[in-house]
Amino acid sequence: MAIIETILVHSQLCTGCRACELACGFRWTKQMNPSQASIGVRRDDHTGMISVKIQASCDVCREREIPMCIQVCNPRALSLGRKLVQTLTQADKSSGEES
Amino acid sequence: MKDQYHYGWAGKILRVNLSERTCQIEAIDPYLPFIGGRGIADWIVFNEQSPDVKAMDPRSVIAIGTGPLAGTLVPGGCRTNISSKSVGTGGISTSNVGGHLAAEMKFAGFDQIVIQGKAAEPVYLLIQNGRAEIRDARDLWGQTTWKTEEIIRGKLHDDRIRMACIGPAGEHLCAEACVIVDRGRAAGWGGCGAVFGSKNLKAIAVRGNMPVRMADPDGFWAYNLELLNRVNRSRASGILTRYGTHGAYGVGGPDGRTPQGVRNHRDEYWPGDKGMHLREVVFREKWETGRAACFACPSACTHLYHLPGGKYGPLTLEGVHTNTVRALGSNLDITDAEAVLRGQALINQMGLNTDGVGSVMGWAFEAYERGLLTKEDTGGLELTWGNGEAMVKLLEQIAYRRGIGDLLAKGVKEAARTLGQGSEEFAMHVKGQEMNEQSVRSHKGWALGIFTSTRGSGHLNGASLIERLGMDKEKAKSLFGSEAVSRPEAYEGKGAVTAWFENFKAVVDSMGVCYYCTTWIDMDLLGLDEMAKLFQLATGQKTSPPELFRVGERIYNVEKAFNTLHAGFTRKDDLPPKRFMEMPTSGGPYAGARLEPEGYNRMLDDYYSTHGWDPVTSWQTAGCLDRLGLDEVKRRLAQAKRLKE
Repeated sequence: MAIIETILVHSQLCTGCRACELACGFRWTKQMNPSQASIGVRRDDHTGMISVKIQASCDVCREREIPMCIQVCNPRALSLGRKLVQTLTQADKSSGEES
Repeated sequence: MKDQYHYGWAGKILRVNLSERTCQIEAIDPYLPFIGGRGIADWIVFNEQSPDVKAMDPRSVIAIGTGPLAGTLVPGGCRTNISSKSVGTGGISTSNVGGHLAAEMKFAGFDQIVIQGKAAEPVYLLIQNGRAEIRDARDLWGQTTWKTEEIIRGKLHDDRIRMACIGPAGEHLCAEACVIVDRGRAAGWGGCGAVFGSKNLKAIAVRGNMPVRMADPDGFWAYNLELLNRVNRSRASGILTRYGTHGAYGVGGPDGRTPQGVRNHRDEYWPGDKGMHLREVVFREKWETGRAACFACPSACTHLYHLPGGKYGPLTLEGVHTNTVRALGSNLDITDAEAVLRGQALINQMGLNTDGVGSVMGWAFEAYERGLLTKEDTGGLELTWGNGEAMVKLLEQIAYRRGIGDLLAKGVKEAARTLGQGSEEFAMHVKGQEMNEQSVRSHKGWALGIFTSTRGSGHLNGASLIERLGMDKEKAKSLFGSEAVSRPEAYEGKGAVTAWFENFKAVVDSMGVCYYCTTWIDMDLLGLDEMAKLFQLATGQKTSPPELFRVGERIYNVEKAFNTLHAGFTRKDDLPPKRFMEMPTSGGPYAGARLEPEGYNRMLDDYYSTHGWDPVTSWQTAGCLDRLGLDEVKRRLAQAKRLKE
């Protein structure tokens, strides 16, 4: 097991402005380019419910103290957190290969 | 080698001819002296529509566009402008709307969409990544705006498509029809929804994955973080975040202190026990479920509401703004907040302009009170003050032109002309555009901005909030020549303030930025200095605050010339309806307030002189147009003999 940094999403606070998408796209391309973002915001029009998804390509802006999406998230729907992840040992990998 | 990219702008204009079913792409470069959004759209409509072509003629032009700061991290960089000839005034109409459409247009590769002609059958326009096609919309005709969005997204299997569409009101060519964006945002003015309808254009659907390039990416990023902090510190932005624009409803003190337009503007005092029912806190505590921001906006002034049951529920809606609460509340003496919520939802679904229908319903209720309209005329509806149920039913009748709705869908000026019997006297409009306002009698500069607006009426051009926000005396004197500009009751300096904000707003609308993120609501937010810096960082083109202001002047002068040429407006068209001069406010802190003719005319003289226009006719002068380099505008006005040499 290992502890890694991650973006925590509090979707009930999200207003769906997509500034996080802009910031993330900017981080990768230096352009205003949400299509290249590792974070995506969707809204269900019927209920107004918003969902935020973070893709595997997110590296939590490893070169920065505060990830760029968090810097521009005005309603504070994003924050920096830690999560436990299972890491594969060499033995796990070998047993996986065998099965 | 010339850089193939544009910075800030997407770089292209899409031209659509619905009669010929053609889509063509044009470079934006020749139009850049007008920045973008409203500036470029106005210039196109001015140049390409002759005065004899009416708003709903197939030959009419409608331009939908945004500016170089939209689709970026600029706070409030989310605005789309729609310019066309106005159905109500016959002059220019400029409507401004938020949501996510402007950003999506940029990501799809276009700054401006210019539409001419009329489709033989209902169509919608689909724009994706630099391409456009005209698609069949026969199955969409008759649908509400909400359903239209749902159907198009479903057909294309893409829930990120953004749309501008019309509802039944636009299809039935109602003068009060607007264009709805993202369910709850409206480009309301000038009957632009009816212009869409007259072209058989149901919707514009947009989706893009293209980037918007910045000339100085790191500088742009850093400066926007600073601006974001300023928005966070702003008290005015805080009110918007907490209550939406509805937060302005109670500004000025306890209930009964804020002037509201009451019973078709015959008064501006609504006693506290009535106003209490529609306060922002009531909506927040009882029905609010969340917030929904426009693109990249930190304020998120659109709030979501859910009515679980009752007479009008279940109902989920968004974007109840302060003027809707006034139009459907004090204007009709209605205190039933649930009826106001239902009315707001219908207005969005039908694609109606809240101020427009508020005005025409106020007129109808007054005509009913005076016996000029009877139960027989209204099909049994009792249009008595305070009747929320009648208001809700009437809204649908207007949108579908059913029964009495057919008369009211003509717009208030035309409806009053049709009914006659002196009802023209209480038809509340400016230049033919319906009005729904507050503080008109008490706040003189605010009033002037409403009545001089090139788009007919409305407080979102020159009407300044300085009378509410206050301003340092020395700063006021240096900027506007009078220390009195902060005092609501004073007439001094207000002409200069109004002219200044008219030019400033033209810049804001051309950049693609929301007025609610600017110095209009808080002196610490985006002003000319900030706009100039953002413009340079985004586009790489040098500018300065005075230079930008001059572009604003040019844009406003193009609109003014359009009005002179197309509608023949003169000084008398900048005067308020008599009611504001003859019927004073009956109570509250502004009891006795009214617009005195002498004072108002003094403001108007000051206003024309600040713009460099002739105070007798209100026409533009050759000197003013020479200074602004508007040779073509000058030539056309001279040709029409409507230029003051």
